[in-house]
Amino acid sequence: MRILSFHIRTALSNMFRNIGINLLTIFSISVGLFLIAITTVTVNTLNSAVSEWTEGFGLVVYLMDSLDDESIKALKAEVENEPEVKDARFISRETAMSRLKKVLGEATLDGLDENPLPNSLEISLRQGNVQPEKVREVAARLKRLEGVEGVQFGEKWVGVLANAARRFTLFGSALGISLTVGIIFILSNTIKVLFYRRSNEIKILKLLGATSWFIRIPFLVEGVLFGSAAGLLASGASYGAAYWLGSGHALPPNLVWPTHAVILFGGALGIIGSLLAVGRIRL
Amino acid sequence: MIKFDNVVKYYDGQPALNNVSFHLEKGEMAFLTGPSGSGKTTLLRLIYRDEVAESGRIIIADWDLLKLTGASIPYLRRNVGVVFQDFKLLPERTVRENVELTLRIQGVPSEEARERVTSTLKLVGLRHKSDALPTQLSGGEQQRVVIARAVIGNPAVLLADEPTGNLDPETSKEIMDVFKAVHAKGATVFIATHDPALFEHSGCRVFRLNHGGISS
Ligand SMILES: Nc1ncnc2c1ncn2[C@@H]1O[C@H](COP(=O)(O)OP(=O)(O)OP(=O)(O)O)[C@@H](O)[C@H]1O
Ligand SMILES: [Mg+2]
Repeated sequence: MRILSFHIRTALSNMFRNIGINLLTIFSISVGLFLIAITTVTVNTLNSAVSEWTEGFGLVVYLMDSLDDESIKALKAEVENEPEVKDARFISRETAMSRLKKVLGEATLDGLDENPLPNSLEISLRQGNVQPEKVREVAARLKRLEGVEGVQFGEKWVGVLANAARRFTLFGSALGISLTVGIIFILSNTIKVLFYRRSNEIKILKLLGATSWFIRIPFLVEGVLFGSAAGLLASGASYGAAYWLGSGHALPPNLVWPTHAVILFGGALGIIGSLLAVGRIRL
Repeated sequence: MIKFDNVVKYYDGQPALNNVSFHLEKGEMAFLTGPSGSGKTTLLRLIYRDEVAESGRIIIADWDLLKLTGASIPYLRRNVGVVFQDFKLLPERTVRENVELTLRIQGVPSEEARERVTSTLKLVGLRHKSDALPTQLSGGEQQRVVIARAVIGNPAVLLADEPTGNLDPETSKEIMDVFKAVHAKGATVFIATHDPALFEHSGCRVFRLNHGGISS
């Protein structure tokens, strides 16, 4: 602990020696971190909205009229056994008819003397299973079950929504990854410059018996300081931005979490950057 | 403690040391002399593995230097205190911080380090310059900072390369007293110098380098 405080003092005094250029570095890293933070929030918000919308959505399995109560129960159990299925609710043909009447109005259906609707099971899927291929696959599997007349699902709009969300996530990830790589690059270059500026001092430390890690640690500390200082700045900015967007209202928790994570993320990138800069240099 | 067997060191195809053999006992104090360019500094640098010999054998305590792995070098150097001919002080660190470095590198806790620095600075007569930067010191004062940094870790071997080059006879004598005190505590001390006054009447062995060869 004591020896670490020595390294931290070394790192701090090195940072303050070139405070102007170092602040500029911190600022540019924080811009990158800010962009990552707001992209993450946007993607997360969109995805949770999409999965909320599609949560209630599911498949409807129409049952053959010939099934008796026992077989319906058995089939329901079988359907609920499928790994993607969250639950299956039995809708009798009478219930279906009264629902339809509610939607269309009593009078429209008065002319029917016989209920043409089948019994059905309303199935909701577990989260993460609403992608179009998945739904189609589950539907096909259900259709093959004994006693199933047909399967219906609103493939289209769910598919469009899920696709849009997925594309956006992909785009956000690509943006996040490139920014991360860029930040690591800036950090590792900054540390490399600090390292070469101190090369004379480092030679002397080696002659006095310093191990490679003794020499590297102040640079790792500096990397963490750079990264987390930039993270602090970015987190302040993203908090401010979210507050402003919410026009002063309390923020939903999924908007607040990145403000803490960004500092840790910045610090982690700092370690990676400085390890890249000095981790493999032969001392 | 220090053993050279037929050591050869070339610089740019020219032999700087040619078949050098000698042996210093543990706890011995000895001198190394010879004209400028005769290889004194080169020989000392071989001892703390700043240079590597082309052939021969160098044994320092239990270390066989021609077979030493990179990872062991720091531990060799912690046992060899060096008063460098060109000082090698850190210009942006105070006297105290420069001397303290030896201990920090060895992981000595800060309180103990602070006390030892204070007493070592007192020993070399620089207590009042603790917070000065090396550039604010005279040549002789800088020399004494280097000596303090070399002896503070109680090394088993103390090497000094022209340690009195910048000092008046009076201060030289004080510095030699520091070396004698370190020697009295059991260290092996090896001093390279031009100045015969240091080793005449000292009763110590004197090795002479000439054109890369050694004689005693
Ligand atoms: N790094 C080097 N590269 C090339 N030649 C070197 C190097 N270091 C020393 N030499 C050469 O090796 C020879 C011995 O040098 P060294 O510094 O050991 O002499 P010295 O006895 O310490 O001299 P002085 O009394 O002037 O300090 C000299 O001819 C010098 O030019
Ligand atoms: Mg020399």
